[in-house]
Amino acid sequence: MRRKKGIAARYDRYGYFFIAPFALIFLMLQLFPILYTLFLGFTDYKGLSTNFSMVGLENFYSVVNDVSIPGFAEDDAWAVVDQLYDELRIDADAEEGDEGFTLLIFNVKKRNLAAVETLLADYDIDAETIKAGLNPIKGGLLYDTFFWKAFRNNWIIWSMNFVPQIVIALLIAVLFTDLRLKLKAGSLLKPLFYLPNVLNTASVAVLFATLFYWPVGPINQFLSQSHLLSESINFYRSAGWTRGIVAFIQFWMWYGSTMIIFIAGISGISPSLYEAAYVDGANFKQMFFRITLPLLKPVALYIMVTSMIGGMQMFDIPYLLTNRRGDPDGSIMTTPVYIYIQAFTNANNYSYASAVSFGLFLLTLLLSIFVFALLRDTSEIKTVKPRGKML
Amino acid sequence: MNTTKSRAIKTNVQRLIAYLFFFFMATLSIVPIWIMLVNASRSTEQIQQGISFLPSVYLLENWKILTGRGFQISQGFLNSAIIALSSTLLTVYFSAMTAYGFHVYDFRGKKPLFALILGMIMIPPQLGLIGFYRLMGQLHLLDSFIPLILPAIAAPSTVFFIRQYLRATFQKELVESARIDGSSEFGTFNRIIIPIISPSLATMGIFAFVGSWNNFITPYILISDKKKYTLTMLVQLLRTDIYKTEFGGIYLGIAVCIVPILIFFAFMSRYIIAGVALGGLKE
Repeated sequence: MRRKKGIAARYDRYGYFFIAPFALIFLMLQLFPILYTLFLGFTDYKGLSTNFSMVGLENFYSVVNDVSIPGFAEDDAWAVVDQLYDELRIDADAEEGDEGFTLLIFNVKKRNLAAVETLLADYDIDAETIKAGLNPIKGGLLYDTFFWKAFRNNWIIWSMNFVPQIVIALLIAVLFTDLRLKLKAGSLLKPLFYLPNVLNTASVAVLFATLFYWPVGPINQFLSQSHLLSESINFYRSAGWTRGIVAFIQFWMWYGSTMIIFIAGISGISPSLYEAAYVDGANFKQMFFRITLPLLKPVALYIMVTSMIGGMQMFDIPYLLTNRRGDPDGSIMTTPVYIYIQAFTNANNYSYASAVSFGLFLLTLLLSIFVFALLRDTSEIKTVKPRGKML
Repeated sequence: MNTTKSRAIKTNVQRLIAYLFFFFMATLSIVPIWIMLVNASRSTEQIQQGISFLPSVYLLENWKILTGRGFQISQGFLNSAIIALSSTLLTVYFSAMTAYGFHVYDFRGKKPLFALILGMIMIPPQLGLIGFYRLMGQLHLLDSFIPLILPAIAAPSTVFFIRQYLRATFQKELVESARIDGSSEFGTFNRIIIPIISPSLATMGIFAFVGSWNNFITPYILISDKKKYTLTMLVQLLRTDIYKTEFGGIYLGIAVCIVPILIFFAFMSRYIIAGVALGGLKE
């Protein structure tokens, strides 16, 4: 940096004082917790215990082995079982078979294998025999079917809401900004479209749980009073309906916001373009596809990325709408709900929940980059301003 | 002549269709909220008999059902108000201060620091939740309002917006003449700059308030003492066995939580919508 002379340079050190409170809180209460969470993802921190140790990548990817070794005498087998637990904290069992007892050892991690071998050497079992009895089981985030199912749920619900959301928001925005139609009442209607966005998600979840209540919630009452259905629908017993309701709530809360951003984007397009097209006899359709849509691309990209990040963080509504476990059939157990269940119920598996948090973050990041690369055209593209806290 | 006339008719028809569509969407926005408000004043029996769009007279009884089962509304309201108001003040004041620091002074490390802040905007706040929870546990700050208020000091997106506003409105001469008049740097900021940028502070304050008022997961994880429950935490109690099918009480409980924000929105919607539009504009 070029040095400035005189008064200005002397004042510049004040810059540090002005940003100091922000920097302090930012580092302590935002950046540090994130790094700390990442760190916990590499530990075995669980339950009420306060101490934990590093386990490397185990929460993300691990291979544990079940080992079965036949041909033990009964006393020997039970002695080994006790010894394994006392010395190595490894669970084991013994089972009577054709040729004496079979020793079953569970969840042996790779780093413990050597210790098991040493222990079994006292009983004349060599490494080869152990190797023959190994039955590897893959574990960790990468092989966690619940995690992938939860991540898939995020995607399904987000897509179900995003497609209609962007179509309807764009339609409203185009109608509002159309020079020929000159529609009025925008100052009354825009706030109404936006209204659901300011309601708190917890209340909205409770509200929709009650509206779709079976058998006598207002939706079911409406369906039977208007003779659309003879029998009421138990919405929250069906995976499809439940997902649909979550997606609808997301749509309901966000289409107004998306519409306003689209209107701002369209208003930023020079009116002379439309006037010229109008003079040249272009119709509504041509103007939309040749002018509006291509020039809205950066705005659409911004909406898509922020909405996607929001969709991957979906918690309040899927958590509170049904039984707080994302049922029926885990159909609305989104990844954040899964994280919550892991960390703050029964087992308090904080380390694994931390790993899931980071897995979700990495996947979201990759997808955002992918979307950017996909939609970014060769012409210049301006930086997209994030929607920030409004997610 | 004939073509212009038919064209005008066509435009009018399109206009009508557009308004019908708008009417439908506006209805969709309002009906769930309206049903909730109406049902808050109807007895559970009436609610189970059918839909009505007109209020009834059981508001007081629903209130008794609601408050009779541990739904401490005034306490919850007070807690939410304390947290939301203090968060808003902290966010607005310190974000303005930070934005001003970045905009007016040239100091070493300014650019990478600002880039870091920009990067943080895209990172979802939930990412560090477990680390935050454990940190607060170690600092003995569980069941305290401090972790719900203090982080408001560092709001990256607000800093970014206010700096954009400063770029458009700030004049260096103002600060220089204040210096010559003997005003301290913080004095200049408090007395001269804050009034100038107050429109942007109002916009950002509205979003900070709504965000804090509506926050669910952070208090849900950190607070376990019922006296410290916020309104959003109380409202989740309505989904538990305590209320089962006491629909009148449930609807009233939701209404109590939502009505303050509805009133707030009625007065602030113009600014909120302007703020949302700003967010989507290209730099």
